[in-house]
Amino acid sequence: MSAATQPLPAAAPKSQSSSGRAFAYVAAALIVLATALIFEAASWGHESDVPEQPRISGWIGGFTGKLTYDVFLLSLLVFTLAYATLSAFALRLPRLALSPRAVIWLLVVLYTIVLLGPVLISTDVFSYIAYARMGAIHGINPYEHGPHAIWYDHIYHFVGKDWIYSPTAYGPLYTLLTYPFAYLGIDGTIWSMKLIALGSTAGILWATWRIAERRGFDGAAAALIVGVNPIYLLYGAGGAHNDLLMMFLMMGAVALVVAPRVTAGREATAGAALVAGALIKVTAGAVLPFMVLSRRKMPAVLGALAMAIVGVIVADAVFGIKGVDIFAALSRDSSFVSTDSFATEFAHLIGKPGVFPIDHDLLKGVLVVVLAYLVWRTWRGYEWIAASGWALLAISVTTTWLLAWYILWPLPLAVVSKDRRLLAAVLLVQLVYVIHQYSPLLVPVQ
Amino acid sequence: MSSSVDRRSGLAARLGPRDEDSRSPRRWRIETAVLIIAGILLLVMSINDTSRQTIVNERLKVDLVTWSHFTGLDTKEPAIEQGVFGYTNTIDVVCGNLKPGPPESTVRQCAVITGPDVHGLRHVIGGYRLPAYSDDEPARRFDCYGEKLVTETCRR
Repeated sequence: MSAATQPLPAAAPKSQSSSGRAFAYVAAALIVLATALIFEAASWGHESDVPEQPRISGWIGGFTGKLTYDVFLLSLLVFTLAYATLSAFALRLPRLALSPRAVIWLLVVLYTIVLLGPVLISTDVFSYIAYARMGAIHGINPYEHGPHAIWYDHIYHFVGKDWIYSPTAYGPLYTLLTYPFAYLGIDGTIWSMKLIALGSTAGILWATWRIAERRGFDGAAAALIVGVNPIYLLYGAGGAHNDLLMMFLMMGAVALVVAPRVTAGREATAGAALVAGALIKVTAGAVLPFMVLSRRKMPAVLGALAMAIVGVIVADAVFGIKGVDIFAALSRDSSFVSTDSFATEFAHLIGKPGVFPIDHDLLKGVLVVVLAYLVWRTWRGYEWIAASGWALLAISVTTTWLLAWYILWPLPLAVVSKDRRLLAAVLLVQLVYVIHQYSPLLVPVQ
Repeated sequence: MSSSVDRRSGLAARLGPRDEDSRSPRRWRIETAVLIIAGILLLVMSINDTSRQTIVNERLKVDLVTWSHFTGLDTKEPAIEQGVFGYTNTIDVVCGNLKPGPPESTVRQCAVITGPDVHGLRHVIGGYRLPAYSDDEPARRFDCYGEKLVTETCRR
């Protein structure tokens, strides 16, 4: 068996002495400490990595100072090194790795901290809430107007300045799901969004564990690599991003068809789940062609079609044609440029000041070539889970609008894939992203 | 059922799903080589950009000192904008409150700064003021002074 197809090692036997795992316990303790420090410091209030928000977690603060760049980046460094140690043990040295029970406890402690802490890094969750309040309370279509239409609503104060005129770019299913929460008040909706993100995380980790075991991998190792990932925990769950709900539906679809016996009903549900994921955030749709192409079973197509038809009808009835055209929002966002995107970094490398319109077209061309190659490989029998992961990684690497939580999309697919190159590539891209955050630590401006 | 039909999918055998990728060591090596090259490129790009941003941060620190030195104000958290006068130069604009208060809550004094770091300061080529809570747009600037590059963008 080639190194590329070597599975994750089986879990260490239960009789294993715990003395050999001391390093793993130290690493786990460092991760808990770094996470606790970040969220405790963030609860002091608005700073560079903490958006302005209602003080839902103000009662936690009081032990340390504010979350400055230094505190955040040094904690992230410790977290990343400890995560690398735990992942290396889980992948290569199972006798030193955390036991499945310890992995579960570590996850419970970490996500309890995330649940109790404030929203980190991004204002996106306040945009979600603003769109929900626009539709549910103010009767304004969030696909036609930006949050500025409700400037008199308290939530408007917390929406990111760059997004106040932007109609929602999220799928109609997500927008509709958020409407009932709008009636819980702003604090209640923030807690709801956090619970949705953490519930989705529980679902992703459960599905990842199950799929890994069904494929002969170590489920605990797979769950650890996803759930303890610093970008997942701090940027994804910390910001209560809806990407996690999309990823839950994606991994749910994978879990349905990775089973010893797959009925037509499971195939159809898997197809429907992927389309539902795309109706949360359109990116999940990238997985569907690979599943269909690889499995070539009609129920998955029919399930996907049925969900798409229902989605279009409901979206059109509630939001009008703009709620159906999820690709228009995707096209709008793909024209944005973020300083963390690899396209911007490449432009700087070759001496250009930034990304130009022609570069967007070139990058789309590169993405089309990569996707076409993956489609061809999948048709020829390449593992569709890996192909889906490569596709999501290619989307995040070629986008000019890269945000930290976009490089989470392929992670759960990578840990259950038989092509180990994918996991290495995803972790490398994440590492490179983290490295890019460190200039304020090297030379603080303020 | 005919033997030319795939039993699982019901499709013709040549269209049916394939269990195993037809492993080609040569293709695998080429793919891996491409991935390694792409990975090295990403790493080099990120390290280069982090280093570049570090140099920019050094410049921005000097900008803040220059602004305080030039205006005589000790305003907290003045804001620095890059690219206001083009993206291919090192002209930065620093704006800070004229009076104490939250950022942008009062009229702001802006200084347009360029040139190399000489004894911890850069050269101020002009400036303007902005009303409270307004974006830095030419139509909102007033009391402009300095070089033509600055004054010709000032509408008031």
